[in-house]
Amino acid sequence: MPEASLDLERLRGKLGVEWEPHSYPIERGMISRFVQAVGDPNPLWRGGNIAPPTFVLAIGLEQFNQDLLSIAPFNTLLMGSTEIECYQPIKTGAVITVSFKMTSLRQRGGKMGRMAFMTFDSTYKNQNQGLVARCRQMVIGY
Amino acid sequence: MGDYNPIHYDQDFARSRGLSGVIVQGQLVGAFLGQLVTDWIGEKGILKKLSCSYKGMNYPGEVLTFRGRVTKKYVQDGEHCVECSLWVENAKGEKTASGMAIVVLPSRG
Repeated sequence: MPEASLDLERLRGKLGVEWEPHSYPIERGMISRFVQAVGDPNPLWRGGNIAPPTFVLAIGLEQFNQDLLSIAPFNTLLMGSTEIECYQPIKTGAVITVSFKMTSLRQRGGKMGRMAFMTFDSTYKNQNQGLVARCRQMVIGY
Repeated sequence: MGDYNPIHYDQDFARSRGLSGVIVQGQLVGAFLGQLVTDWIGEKGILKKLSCSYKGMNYPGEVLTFRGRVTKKYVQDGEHCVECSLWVENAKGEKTASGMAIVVLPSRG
């Protein structure tokens, strides 16, 4: 019996379209908690004034997952790949606006049944509209 | 880290999704690779680009080794750039993630 396809119609309607941007004030505690979570002892991050480069991926992640799962028939999301381009360090006091755009979507069979492979490009700008980072992520949903 | 996916916290949920148990967040592995690079470049180095592709699952309790190798050096727009290839090995020596980084380092002269 062939595997049932995933119903990706609603998700496909969001292909190539910028999703609603969200803004996040960067507080010292956010940076400190991230540094503690990843266990990075680098004194540059001590005090929570400047974030490690990979902190950018944590900004808006929870909202992104909610936005994606509200229109896609997945129980699970896995990270396939990540690419970060850093333009400016992220510092306490900044307000970072995050926007996502899905640039590719395909479906194929895998170990877990039918799975969707999605690529998202995201931009991160500060309160002065300065570009802080760009990311590209491949996300797997099933 | 902002990732509340139960596949990383709920053993029963992870098993229901075909896994042997909860898995490590890809972001955490990426953060460790980032730390490998930022530790190496020091406070005067700048990380311009970091990429990571996840090839295998990682589970709590595993010992992972993070490695890197310089693959290219060049000057671009007056900046001294170094490219590195990066990878993660589990205890069996299997690569569970690989990637690259581009950094800018201060010139020696």
